[in-house]
Amino acid sequence: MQDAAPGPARQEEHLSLLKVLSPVHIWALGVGIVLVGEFMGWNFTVEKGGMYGSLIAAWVVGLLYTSLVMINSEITSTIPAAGGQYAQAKHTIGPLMAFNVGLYLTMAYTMLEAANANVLSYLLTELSGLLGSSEGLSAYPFATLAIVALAFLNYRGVFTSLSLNFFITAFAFLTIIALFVGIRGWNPGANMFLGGLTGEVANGLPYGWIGVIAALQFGMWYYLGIEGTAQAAEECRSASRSIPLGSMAGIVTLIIAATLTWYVAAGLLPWQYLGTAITPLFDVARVAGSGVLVVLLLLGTLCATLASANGCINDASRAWFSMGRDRYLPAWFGAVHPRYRTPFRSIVFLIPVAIAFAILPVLLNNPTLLSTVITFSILSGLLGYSFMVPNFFRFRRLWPLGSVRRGYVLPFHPLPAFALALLSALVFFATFLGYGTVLLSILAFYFLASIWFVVRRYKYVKRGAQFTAPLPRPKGY
Amino acid sequence: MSVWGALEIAAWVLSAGIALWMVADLVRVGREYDEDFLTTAVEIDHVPADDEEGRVR
Repeated sequence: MQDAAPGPARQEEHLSLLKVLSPVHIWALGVGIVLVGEFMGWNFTVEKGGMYGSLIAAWVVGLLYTSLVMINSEITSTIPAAGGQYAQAKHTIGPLMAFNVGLYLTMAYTMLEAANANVLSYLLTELSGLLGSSEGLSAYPFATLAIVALAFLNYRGVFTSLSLNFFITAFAFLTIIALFVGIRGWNPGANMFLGGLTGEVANGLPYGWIGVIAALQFGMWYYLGIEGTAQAAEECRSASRSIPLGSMAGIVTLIIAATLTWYVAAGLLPWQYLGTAITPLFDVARVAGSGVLVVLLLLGTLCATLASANGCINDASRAWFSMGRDRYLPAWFGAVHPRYRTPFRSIVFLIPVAIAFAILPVLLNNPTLLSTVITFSILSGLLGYSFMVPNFFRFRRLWPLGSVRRGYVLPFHPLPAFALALLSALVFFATFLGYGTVLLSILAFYFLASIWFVVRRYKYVKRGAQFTAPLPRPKGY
Repeated sequence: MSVWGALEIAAWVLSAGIALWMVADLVRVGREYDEDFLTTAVEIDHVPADDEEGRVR
């Protein structure tokens, strides 16, 4: 597979990111980042809210993300710029919000990439144990290799890296389907003892409705990262077609995957175990007693983790690059590679950052640091979602329907925007219940970063070049 | 040395090799091309073809 790179650009030409992506790549980017959440992480909803609490969280948070994807599709199909939500905020609200959103995106994806690399090295360590190794395999070299090798792929071209993501993501999704087929999920009485689903009321909602609300925070694992499809808009052959089509197909895939995952796990594992398992789907395969399923699910987990890390490198670098291009950060980061047409400096710069966050929990022998890294990622994403609500209202006010060409029009406006605001507030509350101190620390971090931006950086921002999309003058200006 | 120990060393060597290649290429591009040329990428340089035929909605 080869990128459609036209070779080195001449100095008299203007550089741009290469426009080679199709809806398939957008699907691979969105689903690829998220699907690892089906293989691990989602099951903490069970610990918080029980089996039914977990299912409610999957669907309620699914509604949050469906609203988000629809809103995202309308704005991104109209403003197809790298940086996604950052570029949206730049056009609709202003530099301070754009800076914050850009920073949320970079931190969310870099932290998630670090967590993925950490998990990958854990899986390899487990695999070496299964293959009979008596000595403990070090996590450092494999976490580092995963990040560096995927960054290399991203450096060399977006087409190859997202084509690879398509194959490994599709494979990982098919392993979930294979698990459902393998245990004959359509006939629950045959192979599933349903210990988590029936028998006792305590299995369903052991902590009542407050448990369901607490589960919402971890319900984000089912979908966190699907909004990253917007980051690739500038590299699509036709963003107005690819972004809505790829993103919608992505959220449909994820809702199906989330429901299937919950169903097979709930049917075969007791909820008390499931709530704390590290690799729940792999455990389901082991309980099912099929060697083929065990191998498939192990490979599926590895592929999902790699796809997520790969997508995160793509998205974090685009957000960082677009802030550099507009001088929100030093212009050095806003460079495009003349041959590969990728944001190469941003890709390289974020490698040591991701490696540091990946190996710090191991280096300091502090596993809770990993959950803090993951919580930082989730909360950064959530802050970005909350900001999308005012962004979208202002977008519709500045460019009402009929004033600009849209690749997709959000139906039932303003209901999805209200749903996004309400559900984001609920998840914030749930996070506060479980991680109040971390939440406040993260808010303090972004507040300090905002002060730095206003005092030290704003003077360098290209204020006259904020409106880069080919849009008419906004209404009222 | 066990197989796993050798794999760990191979992972380190491979990581270092890839990282060095990227840094060397990054430095080479910075030397060969004008900085203004590299950092003035066009954000949205054209309206996609289907938009040109599309409806105003």
